[in-house]
This record gives sequence, structure tokens and C-alpha cells, in this order.
Amino acid sequence: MSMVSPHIVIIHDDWNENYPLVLELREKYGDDNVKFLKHSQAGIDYLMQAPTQKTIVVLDYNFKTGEPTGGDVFKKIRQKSSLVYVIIVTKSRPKDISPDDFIEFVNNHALAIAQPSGDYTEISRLVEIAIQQLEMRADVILEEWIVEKSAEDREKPFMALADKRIYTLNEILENIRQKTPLGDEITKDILGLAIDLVLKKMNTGNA
Amino acid sequence: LPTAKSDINSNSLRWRFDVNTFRLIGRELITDRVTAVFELIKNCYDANSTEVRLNFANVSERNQQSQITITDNGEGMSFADIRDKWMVVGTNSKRKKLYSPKPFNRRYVGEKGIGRFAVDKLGSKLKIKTKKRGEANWLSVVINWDEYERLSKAAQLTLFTDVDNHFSYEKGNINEHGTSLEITKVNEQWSLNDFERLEKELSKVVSPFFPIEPPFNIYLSSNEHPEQFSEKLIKAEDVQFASSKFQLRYDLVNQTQDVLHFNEATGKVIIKKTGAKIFGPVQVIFYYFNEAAKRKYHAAFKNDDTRIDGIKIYRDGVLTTPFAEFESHPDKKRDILGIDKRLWRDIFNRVSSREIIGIVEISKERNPGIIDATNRQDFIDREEYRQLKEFIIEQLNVISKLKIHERENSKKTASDALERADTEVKYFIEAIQEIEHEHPEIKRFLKPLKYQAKEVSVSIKHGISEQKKAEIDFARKETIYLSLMSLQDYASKLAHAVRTSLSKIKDMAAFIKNKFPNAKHENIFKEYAVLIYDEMVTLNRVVDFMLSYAGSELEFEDMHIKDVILKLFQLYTASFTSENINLSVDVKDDVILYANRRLLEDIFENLISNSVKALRGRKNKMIKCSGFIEDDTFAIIFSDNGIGIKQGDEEKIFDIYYTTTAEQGGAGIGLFIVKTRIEALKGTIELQKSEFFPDGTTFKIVLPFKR
Repeated sequence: MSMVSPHIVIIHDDWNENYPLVLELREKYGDDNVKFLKHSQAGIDYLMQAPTQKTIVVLDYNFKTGEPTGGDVFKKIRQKSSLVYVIIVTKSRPKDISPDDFIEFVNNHALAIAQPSGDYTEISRLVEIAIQQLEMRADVILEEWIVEKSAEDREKPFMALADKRIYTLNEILENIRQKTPLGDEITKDILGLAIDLVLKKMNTGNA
Repeated sequence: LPTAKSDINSNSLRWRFDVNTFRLIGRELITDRVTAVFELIKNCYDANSTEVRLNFANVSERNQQSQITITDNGEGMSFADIRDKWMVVGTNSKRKKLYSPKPFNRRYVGEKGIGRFAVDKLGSKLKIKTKKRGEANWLSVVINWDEYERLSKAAQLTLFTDVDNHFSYEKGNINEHGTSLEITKVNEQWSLNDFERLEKELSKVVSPFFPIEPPFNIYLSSNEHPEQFSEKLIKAEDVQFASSKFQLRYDLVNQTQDVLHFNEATGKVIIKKTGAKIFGPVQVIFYYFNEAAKRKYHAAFKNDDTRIDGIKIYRDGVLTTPFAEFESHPDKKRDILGIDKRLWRDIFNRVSSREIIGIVEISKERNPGIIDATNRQDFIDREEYRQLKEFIIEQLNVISKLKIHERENSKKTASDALERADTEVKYFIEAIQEIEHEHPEIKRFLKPLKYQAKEVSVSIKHGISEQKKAEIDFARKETIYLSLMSLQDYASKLAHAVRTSLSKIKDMAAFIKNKFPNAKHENIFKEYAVLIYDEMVTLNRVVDFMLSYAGSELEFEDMHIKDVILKLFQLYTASFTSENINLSVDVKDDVILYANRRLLEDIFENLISNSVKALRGRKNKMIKCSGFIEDDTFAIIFSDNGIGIKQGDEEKIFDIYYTTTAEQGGAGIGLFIVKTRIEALKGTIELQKSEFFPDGTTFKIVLPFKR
């Protein structure tokens, strides 16, 4: 399977295109793979229309009053997909983050909350971890595999699942992105199958 | 995971979320040991316990034998409860049902499941031992927070959902039930003083006036202080020495709510009935301590300033807020109900939380609009809660009137007595003179008497003038005090500005450090050098601004008003740009004003910050300031095109705790400070028809000057 490059979206209103982190990430992952946006609403608009596979969002928490907050952006992202990694950047002390937002972050897997004590290299390191994890996650790999199929193929009935219904790849993709019990089940089954196959291969190889 | 008990004796459980991140916030939410214990006690309450035993062993210093045990006789937890609720964050199992089972019918008090992280605050190792009635075995789960600590420091990112927590079963009696938390490797030392504090805080868990049935008793033991704490039942102490007590009730049938009312004629507080309130019916008891009562109270309790501790809200007999948060310094206490922030106007007249013990009783059933905030320190900001706060403040304002009345009375009594004494001495001297006149032969005997009387008369006159001077001095001190209070307001704003600047500087400096030299980034290095310099200039300004407070006295001096205004607005250019506010300053004339720089700064800082708040979310934001000479005065017109001031509110806006920008963080002190500052400069401020009518606000400030 071909590897899709990670796509990094930075949304931060105190920064600009030339901000150290933006430059650093562009240097590491290529100009085309790093998108910088200054306003949270623009961030939401962008993320809602962009493909989400292998996406990492570096998100400011403290937007100016009147704009959607970091918490709002996060919720929007999660409504669309739970496969996007989000790194929250904040100037606040943890106790200044609204506890409701915090619980939202934790329960919906924000990858990390970057404190103001560190510098941009710390966030860069978190992006690296996110990419490693994205590349190893079975659901992300599945997503990547499904998205690569043609639109036509994705609409064809693909497999029958435990509930006896036949699902198309698009429906499976939706379930994986939304992390429904069904989506989790498929991911687990396929992972199990993959391990089985790898083990068999190893056994045959050894024989 | 194993599903049937029979096939498990020993195994492991995993958290269902990344506990490490959550611990961070847990530590921030539960900042205090007493709060931590309190959270756990609430869990015991929710589990229908009638008794909780708190045992502290060897905690006076940190050691391996230290242990805190919290044991209740509640329902206990099943394996599924632990797996599906305890190990999951933000579980809302408690909220689906409002009541605990009969005969308790307790309204659940712990709603968000943050309580379990309280354990982490207390110690690094936890053993939960629990059993439901009817089960054969006690279930034990061991959670070692240290293990998480170790993993979080490891280079490789480990998900804590992958960490195993050991559990096992022990035989038990079928009728036993309850939960015990054994916390070892206790994090902090507990002194006798801490235990006393804990006792005092725990005594507030259950309302002293509306006790709950079945009971909820807490027993406290410490093996290091057996005389004081050996299975000691925690009870609320009776409130003694209060100078007044008021009890407000409600009538569900007639839909009335009692309120306090001050009768000017009699100088007494009476209770009146009003219609039902939007937040629902409440029962309230206030104990007010006037100066004499406070002295008595402090004498009895050795000046323990934390005992008269303001208003507490109980829901269904159990404390909800302020949430058992201990702060030894009264000024640092959280002011959830906004009681003390209203003091700034009349610090010496208003009733503060240090003069009041108040119990407000609400219930989930009758006050459904009052909902706990997740941070457990307050309620969710909704209309019902705002009105409840306002209701409480209104009652306190009535008590303030009583306070003023009592003080004026005693002041008047004292100054009347002085005046009377003065007159009486005068009569006395006149009488002596008359006797002298009639009987000149005894003049020599009367002489020392007359001399004494004259001395007394001088002393009394001196006393009267001293008293007047003291009053003036008092007013002056009040001004200084108020000026310092406004500083508090800038502090967080300034800190935020400093932090933003510093983090930008740090990032750019780090980039240069990491990449220099590199021809590819040549232009970036140059750009950063300029930006770092600019940020430094901003920082310098902020620091200068702060220093102007440190150095300046409340002295008056001559100053060019034009210069002062222009410089002041310069300070805000950056924040105007970031808020997209267009600024127009037009100072036509210049005069020399005899004023105090700080007072002027305060005036503009507050006007500007008010406008910025009023402009949030508006389009084409404008702030306009013009200045010109008008007769013998200098007039300043200050306008914005923000949300404006509601009709009918024109009078209230200069009141201390009145605000139309609460959502934007307005505390309602800005315009009050503006007004008092202008008055200190012997000027006036009034609200005019907005230059941007129908939007916006326009103030006219008039300051006198010497030509």
C-alpha cells in the first residue's frame, strides 16, 4: 500500500505563515502538506471540506472573543471524524481551560495539550508522535485503503457483517470514522485477520 | 476482560481513557487536600452510606507507613461498576437517575466522576476494597499512580489505557457491603492544624439546620492525635455571638418568598413576602456579626478568621458551593457569589463575607435551574443562577443598611456626647463665674476648679476637631484603597500580554538557536530579529506601566492634558489592532491640569476596557475621543459604537457591581472607578446621547483647570 503523506493544519491567531512552528513543519513535511490558518472559523471551514485522512491539527485554544473557541473547533472536527489527531496549544494554565472543554478533549482523544512553558520544537515533537501513531493505527490504515478506491467501487456492496447486512466501503468508512461499535468491530476483526495472516506467513516461511 | 466472577481470582483492569492527561486536570481541579477528602466523602454519600470512617495513620511526616483510609457502609461496587464506571471518565451514570434507592432517596451530589482523581491528590497508591450486599467476595483493585508517573516520563509515548491495574477477590460475609479506599504513600504531611481544618470543613458537609434522614455521619480518627481525634463524630457547631439572625422561608401554596427589608423609620430589618422567584423557592438563614459581635467571636475562637465564612449553598441538605475549598487567607477565597467584589465601592459600609454566616437551602426538585458547573466550584451561569446571586446580594444590601445605621448611630452618639460635654462644660464655667460674682470671697477656692474646667473644654474641642480630621483621613484612605483595587484588574491582563510576548520571543529565539547559520533562512532570521525587538519594546511598555503604579503616590501635579491623553491611547494601540478597533483621538486644545497621573490613567484604562468589551462581536468597531476647552473646564467626549446602555440603566451604570458586559469579563467596577476618580479630580462625568446613535455610548467628562 502506498503511504499517504500526513496533512498538518495549524490554526492559531497569534501566529503567521512565517512562525517558527509553521516553517519547521514545512521543512520537515513539505510546503504542500502544511496549511496555516489564522482564524478559527476559517479553520473549521477548511477542515469541513478537506479530506481528513492522516490529518493532524495544531489548534490554538485561546481565540479572540467572538470567534469560535478551540473547544468549538475540536467538537466540529470530532463530528466529522475521530481519526484526526488534534494537538491543543494553550497560553492558559490548565485550570483556565474550561473543564467541559477539557473533558471533551480527553474523552475524544485530543492527542496532547501543549503548555506555554515549552517552545515550538515541543509541538513539533508531538506532531511527530502523532504521525507515528497515525501510521500504526489499524483504523487509519483502513481509512487510507478505502479512500484510495474509486468512488464507484466504494459504493458497491462490499461485505456482510455480524448483523447480516451488507455494507459498502463508504458505509464502513463512515463507521470507522465515527468510531461506532460496528466500526471498532470491523477494525478489530481486520487487525485480527491481518495478524493471523502475518503469523501464517511467518510459520510457512520458517517451515 | 473476564465476565464471570467464578473464573477470576486475580487479574487486571484497564482505564478506558488516557488517564495521564486527565490527572493533570484533576490536579488543577482538586487543588487542596481537604477538597480531595470532601470529594471522596460525597461519593460515600451518593452510595447511600450512613457512616463514613476517615482514618489517618502515620501521616505527620511522609513515610512508607502513612495511610489514609476512607471506609463507608454504602452499597459498594460490583466488578462491572468498577470496570464500566470507575475506570471511565465523565461517566454520567449518576445523572440518569436523580435519586439513590429507598429509603435514602438521596439526590446524587457527585455528578461528573472527578472524585476518583481526588485520591491521586492524597497519595500515590490506592487499594479499593468493595462489596455489594449479597455477593460472596470482596473485590480489591490496586491502582499505582506512581506507575503512570514513571511511564509519562519515558521517552516512548505509552497510552495509559494499556496499563494493567491488578485486582483480586477475598472471601467475605454475604451481608457485608460498602467500599473502602486505602490510600498509601501519602503525598503530603498532615499536622494537627490540618486535622482541625478538615474537621471544620467536613462539619459543613451536611446542613446544620435541615438535617438529612437517614443520617450521614462522618467519624474522624488519627492515631497520632488520639485525644482529639478518636472516632470523633463530625458535627456542625452552633453559631454563637451573632448580633442578628434572619431566617427567610417560602410558601409553596401561596407562591411567596420571604425577603429582607430595612425599615428606615425604626432602623430595623424586617421580613417581607414577595412573589415566587425564577430560581425557585429558597430557605435562608443569615447570621450577621457587627463589630462587637465579631470581637466576641474572635475572642472565643482565638482570632480564627476563617470561621465567619460567608454564604454557603446547600442542596437537599448537602453542601454544594463554595466547594469545601480551604484558603487560609480570606482575601484569596473564591468569591463565587460575588459578595466581596461589590465591596469596592463602600468597603467600609457593605457587608462582607467576613461578617456573615449564611446558609442557603435549595433542592434539586424545587430549584431545577440551578445546575452544578463541571469544575465543582460553582453553578452553571444561567438566568436562574444569576437571579439567585442577585437575590442573595440584595439581602446582604439590606443588612448593609443595618450596618450603616448601627455605625451612624454609634458615631452620632459619640459625637453628640462630645458636643454635649462641650456645652455642659461651658455651663459649668458660667455657673462658676456666677458664683464668683455673687461670692467674691470664695473666688480663690474656685480658681483651680475653673482652670480645670477650661482645660477640659480645650480637650473636648481638640477631641471634636480630631474626630473630624479622622473622618477626612478615612475618606482619603478609602481613595487609596480603591486605587489599589483597580490594579488587581490590570494584573491578569498585563500578565497575559507579557506571556503572549514571551512565548513568541521564545519560539523565534529557539528557531534561531536551532537553525543558525542557514542561508535558506537568512530572511527569516532578519525578520525574527526585528519581531523580537518589537516584542521587547511592547514588554518594556507594559513593565513601565506597571512600575508607574509601584512608584507613584497619590500626589497631584501640573500636567499637559493633551500629552497625557495621547500617551495613554498609545498604550492600547496594539490591543486595538488585534481587536480590529478603529481609534480616533482628537484633542484640540491643551491646558495644564492640576491632577494625579494615576487617576487619569485609571479613568481612561477603565473607559477603554469597557468599550472594548462593549464592542466584542460588533462590526466596524470605533472608539472616539475628543477634548476641548469649554469655559473654565476641559471637556472630554468619549464614545464607542458598541452595544450601548439599556434604557433605564443610565443611573445604575456608575454603581460598583453593575455590569452589562459580564460575559466579556466585566466585573462592574470600571465605571465606578471612573466616576470616583473624576470626582477626586473635582470633575464630573455624565452619559450623553450616543454620537453613534442608535448604537454605542458617549460619556462627557468635565475637568476643572487653572489657567
